[in-house]
Amino acid sequence: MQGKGGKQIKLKHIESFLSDLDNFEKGEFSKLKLEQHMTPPNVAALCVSIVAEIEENLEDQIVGDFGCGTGMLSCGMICVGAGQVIGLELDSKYAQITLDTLEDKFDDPSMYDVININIKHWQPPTLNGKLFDTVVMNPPFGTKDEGIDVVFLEKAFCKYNLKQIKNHISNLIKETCSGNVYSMHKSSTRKFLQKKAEQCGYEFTVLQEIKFPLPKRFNKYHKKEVAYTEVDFILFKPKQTIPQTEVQKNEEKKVNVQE
Amino acid sequence: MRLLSHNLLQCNVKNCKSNNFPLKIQVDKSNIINCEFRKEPLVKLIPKLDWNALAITVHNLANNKEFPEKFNPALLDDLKFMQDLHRILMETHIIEGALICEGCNKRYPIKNGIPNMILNDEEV
Repeated sequence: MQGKGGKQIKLKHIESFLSDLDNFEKGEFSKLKLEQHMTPPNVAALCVSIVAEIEENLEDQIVGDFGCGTGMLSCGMICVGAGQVIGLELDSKYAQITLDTLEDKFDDPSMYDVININIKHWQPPTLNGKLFDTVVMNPPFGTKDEGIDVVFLEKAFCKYNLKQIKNHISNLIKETCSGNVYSMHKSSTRKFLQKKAEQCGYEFTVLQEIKFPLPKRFNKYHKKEVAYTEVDFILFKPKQTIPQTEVQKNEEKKVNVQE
Repeated sequence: MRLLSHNLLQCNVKNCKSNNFPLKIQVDKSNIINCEFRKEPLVKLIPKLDWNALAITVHNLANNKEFPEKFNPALLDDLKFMQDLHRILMETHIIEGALICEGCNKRYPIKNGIPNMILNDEEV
C-alpha cells in the first residue's frame, strides 16, 4: 500500500488494512505489569483518521508512537499519510514484530524505524531536539504500574515549571515533540490528566470516547471473554504561548555553557 | 535504524552524565535502500537535529571529513549536499552492530535493524 499522500482512504479500508496485524500472545504472565493490550483495528482506524483530519502536512511529519506494541498505530499513521513513524517499544519481541509488520506492509523502509527502549529510562539527548512533529500513542493505562501513563505523556511534552528549572537542571525532562500529542487514557483519569495538561501548557480535548476491549489475554484476571474499559482518545495541543518558554531558553543556554 | 533515529538516543545508564552523546556506532552490516528524494521534509528536519552529533557520527562512519561541522543555511540550496544528506539520513540503514557509549563503555546491540536500549537492573 502507498503510505504517503493517502489521506483520503476510507475508514473501513484502514480497518481492513490493519485487521491482519499480530496480537500479543496469550499467556505471557510475566509481562502482566506491562499492560500490553492491542489497539483493535477499528479503534486504531478511527483514531488515525481523526489525526489525519486535524494534522496538516502529515506527509512531511515525523510521528512518534511511544509503546508501539505490535505496531497498530504506527501502521495506521503511515496508512493515513504520515511521512515517517518512529516506534518505541520496551518488549524486544514486539519491537521486532512491529518492524516486521511495517516491512511487510510498506515497501519503503525510509518511512519507519523501531527502537527497543524503556520509555521510563529514555533520556532524550538534545535540548533543542523535538524531533517528533506529532506523537500518536496508546500507552499502558497505569493500572498495574501506577503513573506510567503520565511518564509517557511527559516524555512527549515538557514538564518544566519554574521551580524544577531552578532546582533540578540535570533532571530536566526534555521535550521530544513540537506539536500535538494524541494519546489514549482511561476515562476515569480524565480530570487528573486535564489538570496535568494545564500545568504543562497544553490544551486538553477529548476527541473520542472509546469502549476499549481488554481481551482474554490473562485468563486469571479477565474471566469474561472480553472485558471492556472506558477510554478517551485525547488531543494535547501545545498552547501558543507557554509562559516559561523564555526561562527555558535562558536555562538551556546556561546548560549549554556548563557542558 | 537510520541516523535520523540515532540522533534521539543517548546513553541512559544511571549516572552516566558525560561523553554519552552521540553514541558511537559499530557497523557490522548496513544497507542503503533508495527512496524518493524530497527536499521539503528534509528542510524541515534539519533544525530539529542535533547537527553536531550528526556531523561527529558521519565523520566517524564514513571518514567523510567534508561533511560540515556546522550547518549553514546556504547548504539548503546545494542540491548535491541535500542529496548526500538524504542518503545519510533516510537511505542508510544500520542492520547489525552496536551503539557504544564513550563515557561508560555501555554497549547497546543493534539486531535486525533495531537498537536495543534496554538497561540491566543495576544500570537503572
